[in-house]
Amino acid sequence: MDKENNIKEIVASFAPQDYVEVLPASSREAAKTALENEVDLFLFAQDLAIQPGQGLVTKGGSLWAIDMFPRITNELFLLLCTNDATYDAWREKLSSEGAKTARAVVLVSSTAIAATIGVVPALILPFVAIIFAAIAKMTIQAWCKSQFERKALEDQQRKAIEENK
Amino acid sequence: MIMAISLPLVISNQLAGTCFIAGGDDKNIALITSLHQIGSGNDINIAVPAHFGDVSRPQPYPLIQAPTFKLNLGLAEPFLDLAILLLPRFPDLIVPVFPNFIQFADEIKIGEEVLVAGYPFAPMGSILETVQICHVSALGMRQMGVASRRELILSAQTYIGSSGSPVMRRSDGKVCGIVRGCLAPPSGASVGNMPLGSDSNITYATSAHVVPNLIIEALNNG
Repeated sequence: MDKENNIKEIVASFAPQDYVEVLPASSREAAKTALENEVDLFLFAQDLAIQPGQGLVTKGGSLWAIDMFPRITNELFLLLCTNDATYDAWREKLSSEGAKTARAVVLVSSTAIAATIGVVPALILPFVAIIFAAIAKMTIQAWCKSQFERKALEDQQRKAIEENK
Repeated sequence: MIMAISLPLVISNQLAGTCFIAGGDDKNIALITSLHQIGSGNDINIAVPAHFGDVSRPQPYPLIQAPTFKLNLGLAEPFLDLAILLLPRFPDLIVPVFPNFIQFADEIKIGEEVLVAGYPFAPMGSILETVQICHVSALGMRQMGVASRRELILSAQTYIGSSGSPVMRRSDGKVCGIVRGCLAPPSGASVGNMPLGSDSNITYATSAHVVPNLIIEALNNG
């Protein structure tokens, strides 16, 4: 079995609830409620990642990277759905350690992505956990397919814009 | 009575806001602040002000420099907009008194007198701690999709730098909230990171009854 499929199997071996358990208490309860009520967990993670806590004028909010969610999903796509060389070592690590618990999958993935996007792993861990729960709910194969389609569409749009310049 | 020790938060070599000492174990001192001001989390420090966080003492100002200590992000709780920061203990560190927290959100009643201690205008370089006496003007239950979060709404004026300030009940000193922002029209203009004309005296604080469990979780994570 190739590395990419091995990773997919590891991720798929845990239920959405297993990934939600990795979250700190209040986010965990909120994500459980979202899961029970069939709320789209991608949107749930996206809302939290745009502005933690949501709403109102926060003082110092401009220090928060509002593009956190797309940056994390882009890197997760490379890690889980492709054989991109950036994540070779991390795939090895996931294969050896990640198979044990959902927490290990989230921790290793958060550490891998954090190193690439220049943040500390603890900062993105809650978002990564919720995204994994969402992926587990829709299946990793379906998520990877949707990401490939999204990327193809973006490429098409970019090309069209360049041709119209 | 020592209620809570507030300290200026320094993110990537720039004063950003307020955090306060919230607990600890034999390895780390835990501090808490609002998550939205953490940035990338790579370079978090606390500055030690000349009054060492004892706001009853006269404070020299302006301060040109202050010693700093590096903190690690121990836990991010995006649903509550809270971050637990860990300061590794070192041999000469004087262990501070840890604050007491309310146990239940319903302990706090409308009209109760509370204190907010923080570093307003910290992003402009101010290391002057101020204490504001105000009242709980509403009890909030912030709806976020299908879930909700308990908040305190205070009659306090919030400034840039106020985020992360502890809210303490005046009668017994218990920490009952952590400042996160204010109700205000969107800022029409800003200077760098600083929004202009967006201050109001309707301040929102996350209820602090959840903090002790968060600290345990962060300390266990190490």
